[in-house]
Amino acid sequence: MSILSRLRARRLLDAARAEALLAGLGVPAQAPAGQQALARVLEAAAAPGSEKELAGQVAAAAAFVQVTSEVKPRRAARRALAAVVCAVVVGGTAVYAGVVASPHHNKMVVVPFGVPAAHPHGLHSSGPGSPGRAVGQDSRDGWGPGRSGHRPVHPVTSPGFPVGKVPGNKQAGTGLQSRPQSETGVPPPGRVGAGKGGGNDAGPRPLA
Amino acid sequence: MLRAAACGDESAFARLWRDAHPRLLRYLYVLAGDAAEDVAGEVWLEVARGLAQFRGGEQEFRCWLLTLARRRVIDMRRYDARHSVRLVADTEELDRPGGDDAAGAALDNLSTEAAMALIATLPREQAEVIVLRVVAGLDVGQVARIVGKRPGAVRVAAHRGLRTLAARLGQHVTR
Repeated sequence: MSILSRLRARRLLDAARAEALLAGLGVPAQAPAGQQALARVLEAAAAPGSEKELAGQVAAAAAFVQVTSEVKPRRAARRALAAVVCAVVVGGTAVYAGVVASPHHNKMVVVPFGVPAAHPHGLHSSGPGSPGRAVGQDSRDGWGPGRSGHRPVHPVTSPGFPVGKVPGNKQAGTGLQSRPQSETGVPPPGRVGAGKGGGNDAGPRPLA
Repeated sequence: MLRAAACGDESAFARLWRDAHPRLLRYLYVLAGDAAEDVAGEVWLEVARGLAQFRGGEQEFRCWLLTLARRRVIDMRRYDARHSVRLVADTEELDRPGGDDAAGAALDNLSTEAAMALIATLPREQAEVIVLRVVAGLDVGQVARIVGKRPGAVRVAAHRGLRTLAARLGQHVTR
């Protein structure tokens, strides 16, 4: 469309008149013939549906009934399936949590705060004369795995374990804590149960 | 009526169909031409499937319906573009009247078909906007949402289309 024809067209129909036509308000009687013809055409375009256009009503209603009857069972089946999946997931999680112990259950966190670090030879030496070994003193002392083997070695009373830093330790601050290794003869962590008495593997083991 | 139809009431759906189908068909005539009936059938099937989830009033339903129709037409065009061979059944399609002929026909026998044929001679963008405004009775914002354009662009397209129509009709009247 050229510029001249656009200008002519703009003169034919301004924006306000165009909006009025689009809103179905029509045009005044003194409007140009083109505008009046346009108003008639738009009115005809917005006329109610003819018989020809509405001929497919019965078929449409039948299709609607068919589709809705198909959709409803599908929706119900989908809901039932979702409920079953939820039940399996929740039940499975509960059973798993009840049967399998959590790997964090026995884990102890060693925080060597305020306790002098044990001598590396005393902790790791496995020779018969090593001070940390103290073979034969286990049962006499009563804190190692003695003959009875029933008395557990509490980790908080063993050297190398920071007393009072282990969660849930109710013996924190007792006199037993401060006994040096040479007095108690308690084997170092990780060696419990390897002594003469043997067999007491039930004691808690520190995990690095 | 919408709520009843969404619950599966057949008579409510029939009333809904009677109200909306002519508008849908005219809109599709501008967009898809002779395929309007087929596309309208597919659109109503989609409506029947999704009506239970629909929330809104009459205007929102109209917008939803016409948006579905537009998407269907876009899909159809994509399909046609991939399968580009299209045979013409008869010579009537080749002898379609141009803009001036359509203007004369629209004025001589002022029917809905003639008026729609005249509007369909406009560029598709302008014709679509005019049909959505005039036939579907939507406002500028709703039309802009359907066609994915800004309200200003919709207004401009509609005004241009109307001016073109007014010019054609004016020429025919003064002849």
